[in-house]
Amino acid sequence: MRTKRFFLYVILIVFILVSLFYILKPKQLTDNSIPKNTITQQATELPLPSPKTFELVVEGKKLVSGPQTINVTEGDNITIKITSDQEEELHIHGYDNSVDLQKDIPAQLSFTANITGRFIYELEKSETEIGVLEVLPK
Amino acid sequence: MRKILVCAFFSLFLILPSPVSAHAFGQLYTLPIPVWLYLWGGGAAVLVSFILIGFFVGDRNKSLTYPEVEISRLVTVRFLTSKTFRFFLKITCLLIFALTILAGFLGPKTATDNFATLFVWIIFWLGLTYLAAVFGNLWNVVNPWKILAKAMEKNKSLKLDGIISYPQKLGYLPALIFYYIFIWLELISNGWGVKPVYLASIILIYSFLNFAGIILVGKKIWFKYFEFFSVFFALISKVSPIKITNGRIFLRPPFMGLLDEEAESFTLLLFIIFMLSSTAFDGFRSTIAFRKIDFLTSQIATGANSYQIIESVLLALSGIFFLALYLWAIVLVKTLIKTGFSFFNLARKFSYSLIPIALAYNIAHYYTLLLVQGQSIIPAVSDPLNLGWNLFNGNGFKVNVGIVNAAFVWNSQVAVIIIGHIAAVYIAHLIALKNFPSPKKAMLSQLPMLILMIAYTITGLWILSQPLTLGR
Repeated sequence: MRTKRFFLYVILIVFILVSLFYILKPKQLTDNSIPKNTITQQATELPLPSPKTFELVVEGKKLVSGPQTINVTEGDNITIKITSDQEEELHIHGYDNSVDLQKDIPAQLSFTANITGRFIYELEKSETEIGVLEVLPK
Repeated sequence: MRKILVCAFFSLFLILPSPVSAHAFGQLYTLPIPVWLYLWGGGAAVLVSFILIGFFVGDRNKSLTYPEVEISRLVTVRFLTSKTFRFFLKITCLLIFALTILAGFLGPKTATDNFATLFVWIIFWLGLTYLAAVFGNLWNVVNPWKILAKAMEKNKSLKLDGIISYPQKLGYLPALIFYYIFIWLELISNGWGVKPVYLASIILIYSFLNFAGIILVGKKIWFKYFEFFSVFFALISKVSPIKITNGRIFLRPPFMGLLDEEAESFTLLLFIIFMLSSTAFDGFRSTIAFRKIDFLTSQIATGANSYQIIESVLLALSGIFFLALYLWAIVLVKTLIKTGFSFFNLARKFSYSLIPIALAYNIAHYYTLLLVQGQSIIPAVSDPLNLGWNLFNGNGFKVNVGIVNAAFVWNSQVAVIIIGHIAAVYIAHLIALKNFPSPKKAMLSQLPMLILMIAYTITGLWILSQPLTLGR
């Protein structure tokens, strides 16, 4: 008796929760919304997917210009331009991408953001975290 | 005595080495869950709770039986429980134990490359927790200190019954203290727990304490009240669908093991609460909300290690917060139904119903760590001692960070927390039916418990949805 009721209830619960899930789920996941505290820069308004470019300037191992959070969507082509006043290395966790930084010479890192998640980037030599790349799912 | 211990503990901070960055070790790549999903989760928790009440309304069936199937005769089960296989398993465990210590001392110096750190914090601490939830108390079989103690007992006809008698009043407090220190090493110690050499030294110290303890209080008491891994895994394994009685093995619905017995001591409740609160604390401390608290407290306490002292206090306070919520619910239960059970008795009786929530918190917070960083064990075990070996062809192995998509992670995290919630509410109700004579009383007693569980669940979801600070 209880077992039968139990399964009826399980079906009821699952049905209600799943339908609510689909009602509440936004059609497009935060695709072009730009969160408050972040600056997202779009290079040009071309019809083809153009790389999203972000420019970072580091002085004294601190980020003095550019976004502390880079928000992109899965599949975006992104380019990070970075200038440092000291010799360093920029390293993005997870993606494990890095680029050597010469004093005052702009360096650049381009890749496709095909892994979703939250990845910190840091100045590798001094282990200073300067920002985070957030790749939202499509 | 306690004051001296506390002083000694905090004076540890004075001799701490200069800050060591935990670096990429234990770093989660998960994004905070989106607001709409958080709201869905919260709503689901409330809704499901009331549907479950509906399920129990008018249910006069007081029996707490459940279907079970004996599986002891299956060939696989017979093989896995055979003496030969268990012997093989034990030897393997001792070898891994030795390798962990050796790798800690001789292996790569970075936590993310070293076998010891990866094995202890990720494969063992997370992996064995989930295995125990599915297959039962495996730690009881593979606990290296227990294997060694048993071997000692056999070979030297030595009796490990203890020299001094343990004051049973203290219950599980020793295990709780060890557990707190372990979490402290993991989260607050500034690299003690994740520096391979330190970790290996800590394992040696803990092993020494194990042997000293086994001789002093005896094997039975030590593994029951002191050795916190044994306490932890025994509690987790109660949710497992595998039941062992008199050498026979049964398959039963999951979570039902929580009804087999009740917490024998109030101190075990404290241990369970810490299982909940320490995971919540770990999630909470990397949020921006936590940084605000941290900032406020840093205005009061200044000094070289004030940050760690504050975090140590907050770790304990988070436990007190979760305990206060629980005890408040118990007070309400007692006033609502006027039972003959004392307050402490009631608190004990319902404590196992929190285990599903504790496990759900753990899975939701850490399972991606096991899936992603756990992969690093392959290169690490290929050359554990830094001798240029390539045992499992793992050199040059690249961790697949994208193994789980962020959308899947969000959905699974919320799903796990809701399942934990449902199990907790269900089990709490069955405990009430078991203890209170009328179904009406049982129902009434569950209203405060329901609010408590909803509060815990929404707290867990809220933490997962919070914006995060830079490093964590």
